[in-house]
Amino acid sequence: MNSYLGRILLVDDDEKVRNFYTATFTRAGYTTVAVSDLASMREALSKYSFDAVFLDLKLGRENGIDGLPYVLKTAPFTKVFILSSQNSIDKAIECIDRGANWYFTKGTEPDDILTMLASYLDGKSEAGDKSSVEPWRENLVGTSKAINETAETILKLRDVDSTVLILGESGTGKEVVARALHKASTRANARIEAINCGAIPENLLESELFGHKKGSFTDAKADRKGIFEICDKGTLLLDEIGDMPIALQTKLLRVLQEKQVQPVGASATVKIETRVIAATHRDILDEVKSGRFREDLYYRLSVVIVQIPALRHRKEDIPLLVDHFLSKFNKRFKKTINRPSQSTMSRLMNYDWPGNIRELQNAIERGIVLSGDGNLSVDDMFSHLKFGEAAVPTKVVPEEGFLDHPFFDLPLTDAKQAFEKTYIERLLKLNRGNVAELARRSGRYRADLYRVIERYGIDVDSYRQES
Amino acid sequence: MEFSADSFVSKYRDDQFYSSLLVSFNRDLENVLTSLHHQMDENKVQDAIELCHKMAGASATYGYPVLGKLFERLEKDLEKSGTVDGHISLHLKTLDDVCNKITEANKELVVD
Repeated sequence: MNSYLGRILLVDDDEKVRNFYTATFTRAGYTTVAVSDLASMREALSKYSFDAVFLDLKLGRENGIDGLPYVLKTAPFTKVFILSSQNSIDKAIECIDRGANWYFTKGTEPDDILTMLASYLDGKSEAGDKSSVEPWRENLVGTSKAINETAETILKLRDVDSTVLILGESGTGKEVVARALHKASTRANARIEAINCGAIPENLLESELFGHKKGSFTDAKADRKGIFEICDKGTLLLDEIGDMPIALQTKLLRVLQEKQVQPVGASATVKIETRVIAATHRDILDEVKSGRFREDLYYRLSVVIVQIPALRHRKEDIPLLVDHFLSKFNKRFKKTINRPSQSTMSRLMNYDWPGNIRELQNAIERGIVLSGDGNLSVDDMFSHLKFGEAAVPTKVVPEEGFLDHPFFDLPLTDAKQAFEKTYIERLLKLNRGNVAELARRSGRYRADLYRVIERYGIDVDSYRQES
Repeated sequence: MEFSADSFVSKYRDDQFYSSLLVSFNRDLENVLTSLHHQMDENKVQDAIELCHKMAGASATYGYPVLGKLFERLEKDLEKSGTVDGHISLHLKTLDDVCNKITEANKELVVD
């Protein structure tokens, strides 16, 4: 087998086709995950980062193209190729217009597909994306003191292998910073992979991280490399590290100390030179104090800490971010929506963006998609706040008596948990148990919320029944 | 309808890497046709359309473009007619013949 070239997600409802392309991509050196429907595709995308997605257009009675916006939104770095049996120029143009990188018909020579794939992954087919900004900074948009400090830190770290811990609220762009760190480093030509430690079941996470030997558990049909080994000499982003089960934290600590991994079921270890970047939206010191996160692992991971500020603390970057997303989505949707007027921009600047850059990006995308007159409308951009009640006020002013609430008599950790549970229950009630809406409103990943919901024993179905 | 002998062997026949997949594909052809006949007999047109669509893609993928085109044409004819008529039955007969010839032509295909 060739050396590892990347990770591919193949979405096709026909087992024969999945088997053929899995074999083809694997032989060429790609790790391939094959799924049969859009729900499984979304699940896979929530767990791993993929270099490319191959999407069939007719998935049983589902339309594959309906999955395209989800891929483009949740995996902006991923190339998307349509793999269809429909030999239609119109269909190909429609798919490319909607954001796919290329359209293949089934029956295309595997070598032609692999050549095209390699050229896209090498960036040779990205015409028109050149700018004067250094490549590693392209997605790090802004000129605020905070973002410039982040960029300076990235430059200081470019020649060293120190472990980095990225902290920041959900939606602040932790993965963007991790990728910039990789791209600026001497490892830029090697692999970068990301794994969401909070989205993968505990019993699978160890095998995903460290690999396994054939027969080490029921589904271990063959030897498999873990993501640490796959990223050897490259970079591994351990996203949502704060959600990693405590038993695995011990094993991770040993890997970081000894720079070798032991696949599940193996007696020997494998040496690795993988640079680790960890990220979390949690108050990690609070997790350490409460015993949910190992203190020694925290110190091992936090050799360098990069704190990404919330968008409300770098509002001066909002106009540049708006331009960035406007340009991106105008290009994707083949539109020419104008820059917002001064009054609209002022509204955008006055809002606190609790969901951070992700919320701003979604608002601009919504504004562009819904625009009927070539302009961004405030109503469209903020429509996500209007469900069952008035929009959240920008500044939250505690009402009289608020400080007498029993929360304030609890230790801080308990108070935070009590608040978190109440907060989630309140939103579930307002949303009638709609977890997707809860995720949007709270600015948290759905997978993350399911874990919190489980931890507090919240019965989501009971909110659905209330409606 | 006449087809050249090349139509009955996969273009990947000489690539040992794909041997086991081709053997499995060829072996499954009979089951596919049995299912398709069954769906036609019961006038389950939508199921037949979906199976034809899958097989059009799979056949092209496995290096049988002619077989792929036959499944694709049957899929389109079924969509158009909405029922199993004489024309469709004739079309299915052609598919039977081609699949038999593929099975015959690949008898010696073995996995190393």
